[in-house]
Amino acid sequence: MLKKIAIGSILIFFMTPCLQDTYGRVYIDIDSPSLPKFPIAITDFYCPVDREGHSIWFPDQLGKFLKLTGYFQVIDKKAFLDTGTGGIRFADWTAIGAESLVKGAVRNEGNILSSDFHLFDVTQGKSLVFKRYTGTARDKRAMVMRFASEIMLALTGEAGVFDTRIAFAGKKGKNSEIFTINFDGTDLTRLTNYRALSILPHWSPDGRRISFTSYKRGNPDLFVIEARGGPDHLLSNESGLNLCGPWSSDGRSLLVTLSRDGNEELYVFNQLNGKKYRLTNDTSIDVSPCWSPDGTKVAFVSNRSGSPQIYVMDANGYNVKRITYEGNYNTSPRWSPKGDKIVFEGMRGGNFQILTMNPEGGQLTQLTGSGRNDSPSWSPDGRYIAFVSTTGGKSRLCIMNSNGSNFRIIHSGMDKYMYPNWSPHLNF
Amino acid sequence: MILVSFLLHAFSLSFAILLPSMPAKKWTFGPVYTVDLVSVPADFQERKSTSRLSRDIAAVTPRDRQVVLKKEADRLPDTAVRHSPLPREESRKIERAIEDVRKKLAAQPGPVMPSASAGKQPAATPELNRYYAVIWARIKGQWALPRGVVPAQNLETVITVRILRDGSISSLQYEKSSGNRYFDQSAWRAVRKAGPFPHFPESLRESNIEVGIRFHSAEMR
Repeated sequence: MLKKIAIGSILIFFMTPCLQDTYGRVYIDIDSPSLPKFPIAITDFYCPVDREGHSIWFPDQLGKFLKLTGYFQVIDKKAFLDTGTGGIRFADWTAIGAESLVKGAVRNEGNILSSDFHLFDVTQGKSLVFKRYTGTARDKRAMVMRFASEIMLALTGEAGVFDTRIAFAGKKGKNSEIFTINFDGTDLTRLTNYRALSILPHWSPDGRRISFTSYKRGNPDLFVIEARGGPDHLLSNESGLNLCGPWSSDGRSLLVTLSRDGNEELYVFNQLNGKKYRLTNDTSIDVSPCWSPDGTKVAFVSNRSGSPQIYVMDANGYNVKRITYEGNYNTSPRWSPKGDKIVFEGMRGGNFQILTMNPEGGQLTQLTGSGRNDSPSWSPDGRYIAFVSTTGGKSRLCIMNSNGSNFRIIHSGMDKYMYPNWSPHLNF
Repeated sequence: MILVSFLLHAFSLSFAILLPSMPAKKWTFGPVYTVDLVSVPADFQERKSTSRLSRDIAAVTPRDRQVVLKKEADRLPDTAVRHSPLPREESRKIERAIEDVRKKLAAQPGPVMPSASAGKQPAATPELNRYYAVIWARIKGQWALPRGVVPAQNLETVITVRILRDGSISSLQYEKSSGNRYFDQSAWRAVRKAGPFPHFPESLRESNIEVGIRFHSAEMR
């Protein structure tokens, strides 16, 4: 009984101040940010004996990586107020609009190069990430890349795509070879040298191999090659087309297009037993397949309705449903890693443009507008799209953020870029 | 014993029944009014009221000839009024209070909005509204959040900021989290970078004010 009285009185006691406190507070609504990028400051690195210019090279390289992501605005060093080497005056950094600050140090002892990276949130005056990397001078780029990933993870929740490469077919004259290139446009590597038409490279889910179609033996056959180079292996040489499509997430199967029975049909090709399971059975052309990330559905292109349009079916070939109705030429569907979108190219105003939609065909959004833009491929985190952009007769390998912003050219100079395919995380 | 138990049960029952009729306990105090920020003054300066009413008043042209509308009242006969002597301290207090009111009125460029007097909050004079507009512009201008960092759903974070007379921020706290860490953090950083704010306008007598900043992601998609 005493308890009841106690509870009652406690309730009354706590209720009263709350009722008294309900006075009007002013609320200010802010509906959208003004700055589309995170402002970050990177100071010169501390380097006691600096013969190689590391104190400048490290911050510059880090800035380049961060700018490439499209998420960061690197503040010009000229704006810095706090140039002292003593304690950090956080207010001096917020005063120039910085939210984050990177400080670092590099030490060279014999052949050993060690680097410290320190990320601060200057608005809260606290340390977010500290990392020390040790290696040789050859590893310095990888060190910077690793820390760029750490910054992305700390501020955006995803590690970024610094450890990824893009495979593509590069055309010179009549022939094309398979190449790979870093996401920042560095380290271009040629994988094939067949002097034939080689197309449609696709990374294996572990990033170790690349499958593709090549005319090197006259017929468009299916091959696989180590991503770091080496001899190729023939996978399929059915008569007619053996067009390469994406790998299944377990790495066992490939989606392929074969024309052995007269017209182009889609198959699941099991690499372990060599069996090909037919998915489509139609008198029209069925090409360009891709799996949904959970592997339960396949999106593809068919002209069964008269014009090339995008369809979705169950992974076993049943329940075919057309999803594009706008435009008379829609092709190259690629399902986003999160499964919420399909990117594709569609004829709009006389040129191919890149568009996204949801897997039901709704929420159609055109991402590109000028020139010809085609062959989209998602980054493994779904935040970027690689594609080929052609303006004024010049072909370029490009990337953009998945909402169409931050268009960047990765490589140019070849006659024609074709079929870019973004690698999974390679953990280098 | 039973009687006591009965009485207590009756008490707690009636308490439970009466409870819904009382205002619900709220941890997030809803706004009594929200400041509508239509435009932000580039310079935070005194501007003359341009309301229709004041324009109408200003437009009145004086007549050529003065018209006596009311006859002057007959003067009351002088009477000796006995002033009851107030203690010195007391009279000084009153004088100061009158002076304060006079200053306040002088500082107010326009009429005081009737809805403004809400409990303990300072009266929402146009000057104060302009102060809020400056806070809004400062924070919005500092809010950095790239598209693609947060999911394409509508998020809301509410941060309560207490501002001192000199414009400095004395405390910040999350009143409501959006559930997305990166969205919350971006809002927090925006408020931090936006401060310190300008000094309170003279008409604002409070030693500090508390403002809720509501950040939305609806327009980001």
